[in-house]
Amino acid sequence: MKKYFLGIIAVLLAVGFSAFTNIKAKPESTDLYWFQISNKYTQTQMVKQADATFLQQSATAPLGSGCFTGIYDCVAGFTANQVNSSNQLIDNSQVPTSVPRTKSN
Amino acid sequence: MKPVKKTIAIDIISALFILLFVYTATSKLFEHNTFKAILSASPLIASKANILSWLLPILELFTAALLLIPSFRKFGFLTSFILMLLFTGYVAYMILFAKDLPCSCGGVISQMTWSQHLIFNIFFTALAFVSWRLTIRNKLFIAIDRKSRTPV
Repeated sequence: MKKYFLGIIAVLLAVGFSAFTNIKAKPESTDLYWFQISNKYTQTQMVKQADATFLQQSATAPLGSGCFTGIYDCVAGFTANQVNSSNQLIDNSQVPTSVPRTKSN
Repeated sequence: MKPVKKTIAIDIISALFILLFVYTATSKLFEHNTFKAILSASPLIASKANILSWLLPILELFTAALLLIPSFRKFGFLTSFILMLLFTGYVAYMILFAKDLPCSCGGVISQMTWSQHLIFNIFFTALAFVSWRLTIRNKLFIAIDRKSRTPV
């Protein structure tokens, strides 16, 4: 058991640090950048910059327009890392972090 | 380096790597959606973002487990060296071609600039390589019980 001591201490410290830094980061990370999505994208597909229109930055999703139920993205949320300073997607290869509202066509 | 000092050094270095890998892996798993989204933004690995977002933390935890068990430590350091070499190559690529994108590393390490991250990675890559060599050479020294004349 003695030979595992340092390793086990390291594991406990790592999990503790990790939980601590993630709890601290939580309030900022809950805010997402919401976009109205045009054209047809399923939830795991990358959205083109031109097909995403910025709606707002908030913890909850806006209603958007033309959203009912379906398999295609209607209102999609992206993290701050995926959005540039002009509130556009940084490139054409961003996958939504959250898709609370969908559409059928 | 004397064998006892070498063993202590290896114990401390392996604990350091366990701390690093478990910390970054759990940070990636706790914030899995964000981690996956950042990987998707990277031009080099965007197409494999989904698989990598699970594979990387699992590999890091596996390496930490190898380092935790003394008899597997040699393989642990070799895996650490390979992992750190891959991460360093990725950071170098990002510095050259996509400096504006965020780092997909876990926890407070993601707060570093790309250049700081490169120095950090080079240091740990070198440390993993030296430790791996030390564990190989350590094999040349085995403790023998004076009375029974058998390894202990």
